Amino acid sequence: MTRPVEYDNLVRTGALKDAVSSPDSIAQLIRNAEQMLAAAQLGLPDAPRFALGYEGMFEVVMAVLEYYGSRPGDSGGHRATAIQRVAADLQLGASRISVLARLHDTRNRVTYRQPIPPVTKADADAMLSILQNMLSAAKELMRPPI
Amino acid sequence: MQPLAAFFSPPEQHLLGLVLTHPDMEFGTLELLKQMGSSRSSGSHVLDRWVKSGVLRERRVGNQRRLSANRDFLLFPELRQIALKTVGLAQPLCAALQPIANSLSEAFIFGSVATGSDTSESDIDVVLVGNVDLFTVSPLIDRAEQLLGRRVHVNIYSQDEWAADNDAVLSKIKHGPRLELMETLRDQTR
Repeated sequence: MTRPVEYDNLVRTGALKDAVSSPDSIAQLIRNAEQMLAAAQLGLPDAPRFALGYEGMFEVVMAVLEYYGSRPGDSGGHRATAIQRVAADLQLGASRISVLARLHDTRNRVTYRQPIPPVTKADADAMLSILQNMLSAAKELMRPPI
Repeated sequence: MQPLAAFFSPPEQHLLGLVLTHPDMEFGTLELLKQMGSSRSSGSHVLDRWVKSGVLRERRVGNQRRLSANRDFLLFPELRQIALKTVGLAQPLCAALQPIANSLSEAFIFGSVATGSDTSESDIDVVLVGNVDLFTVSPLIDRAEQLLGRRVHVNIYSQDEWAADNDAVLSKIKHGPRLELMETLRDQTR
């Protein structure tokens, strides 16, 4: 597997860092994402559905980053950069990437800035739909090593 | 005809929309002239008039003019409401949302912008009620954010969610201050 040049560029700018890639670790991250998706589909309220969807999505991001021997940098904003990079590599599509950026901001807003207004059913539905897309695309991308 | 056209020239409408919706920001003359789409002479004349009448506050930095909305101006609250309801926020937002206008039963701005307590860092909180999803709405809002230079936080509710009367947060949003968007949206689709 050759790492795409965009990852090397982000490592150079400090947005990503080099990391050891372990097939077991990648498989566990994917399992975590699958379990979060399954748990989110058990009829929970919107806030925990959204939280599980977001965390599951980030497990997928971490899995793909590790697949390419990288992880997010330590400074602020690098989580968003990592999410956008992986979403583009998984060919999420323009409108879904737009929604993902918006939902990442929503997660930061309700977590760090203001919990009101809370996440909506539309937010949670979109987050889980994106998690499903990214999970299947990531499994497809990483099929040989897993 | 746009509602402000009877009262303000197009350059003045652009000026109103920019300065009155960002009352905590200062602008350079060239920046304002560019936004107004005016020549240097006619645009400067408008700026001078607005400074003399007290709508704008002027501060000199060296030989440069720094202009901002004057919060102490007698009609500042009313002008700001006019700007928000028309050229400043409502029109750009409604233009962006026009493709889904027929799927919405309610659309309005709430939160700090509606109460007048926002700063240029505040999100613009928007409620949309209807048969739409975030995948349709988000790219439209992206366009509005670029035009407005501010982040828009959109809250989408189905008719059933909106009609429920057992949610304290929704109840507060429903009965709190708001800037209506539906009328402008309907006007645009006529």
